[in-house]
Amino acid sequence: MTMDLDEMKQAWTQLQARVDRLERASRGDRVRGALRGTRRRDWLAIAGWVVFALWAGSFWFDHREVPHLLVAGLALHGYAIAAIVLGALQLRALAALDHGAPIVTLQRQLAALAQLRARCSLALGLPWWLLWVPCMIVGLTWLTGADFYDAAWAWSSLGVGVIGLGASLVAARRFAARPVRSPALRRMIDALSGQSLARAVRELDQIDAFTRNG
Amino acid sequence: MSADHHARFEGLLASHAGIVGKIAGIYARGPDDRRDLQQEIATQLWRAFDRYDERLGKFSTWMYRIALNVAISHLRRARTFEPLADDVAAAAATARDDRADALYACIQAFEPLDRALVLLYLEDRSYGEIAEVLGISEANVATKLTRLRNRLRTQLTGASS
Repeated sequence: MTMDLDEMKQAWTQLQARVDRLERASRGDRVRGALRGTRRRDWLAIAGWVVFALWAGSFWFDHREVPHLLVAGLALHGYAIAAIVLGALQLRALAALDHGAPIVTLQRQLAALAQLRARCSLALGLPWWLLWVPCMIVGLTWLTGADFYDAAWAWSSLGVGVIGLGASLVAARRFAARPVRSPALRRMIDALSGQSLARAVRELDQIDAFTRNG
Repeated sequence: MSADHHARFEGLLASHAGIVGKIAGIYARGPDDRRDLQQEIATQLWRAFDRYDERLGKFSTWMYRIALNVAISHLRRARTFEPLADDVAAAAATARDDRADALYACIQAFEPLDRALVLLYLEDRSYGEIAEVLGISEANVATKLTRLRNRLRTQLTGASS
């Protein structure tokens, strides 16, 4: 089969009729429902971290006389502030996107945003190997009113966290190329192995190559 | 948001629904994915509609930009590529039109930005409008189109032999 340019366009026009038919079959009034929600979700995450920061802040202030509770509370407070700042940076980058901009302009912005998101995922995800220790200390004290702190347990748990952190990075690199069914697990592996970041860089390179003449 | 504003958007979207359908057809990976992508495009169009100024350009140009941007981003997120959307393939097979089927399959094998370029060309858009939608120079459009048309011709010939 050979096809000249006019025939290509003719074939394309024929597809229009089929797409129209499929379009009619699948159209529903789902758009309005989807309009709500997306932005709300982004703001909800920040609002959640603001509440967490206030709670952690009030905790360490109330327990400022007890060093380990002060340190644990400060660690959680610092993390929550970092999460708010990084979340706000991403929201600002999202708000700055102009979806009516030329394709290469927006795609370049999106690739830059993907880079930012990949870095934020690493920065906010990895510390949890260690943060669960102050989280336990603060959580138990807050829930029971009693201080169950045991220095040996805390330091050994932090040690396990450091080992777990290293192991998760190694495992993520190993599993990076393997198929994974769960989208959430896939995202986690990609983030930990640096695949997300590498992909964003590759996308930027592709866009640059596309904009070059010829 | 006024009811008039919403009605105007729905009217424009309905009169250009074919654009959304075709873009979703070449960027989606199956019937469900196509419906999701169509919805995603419509959502994004609605969000951006406040900023649409008809004095600055045609609605179709604005719509192509947004719809293609959404589709390309959707495809990049999906990461894995399947050669042909099932329902469109089925429709093509039903109509026994090998040419349209092969054309669709060839376009779907292109890189996301190249797909946009070919789609706009097949939609009979001028080089000026294609350049405006993509954000590259007209000379670049001409150069790339020459190469992509040759590639399409070669692939379509190869597919039939």
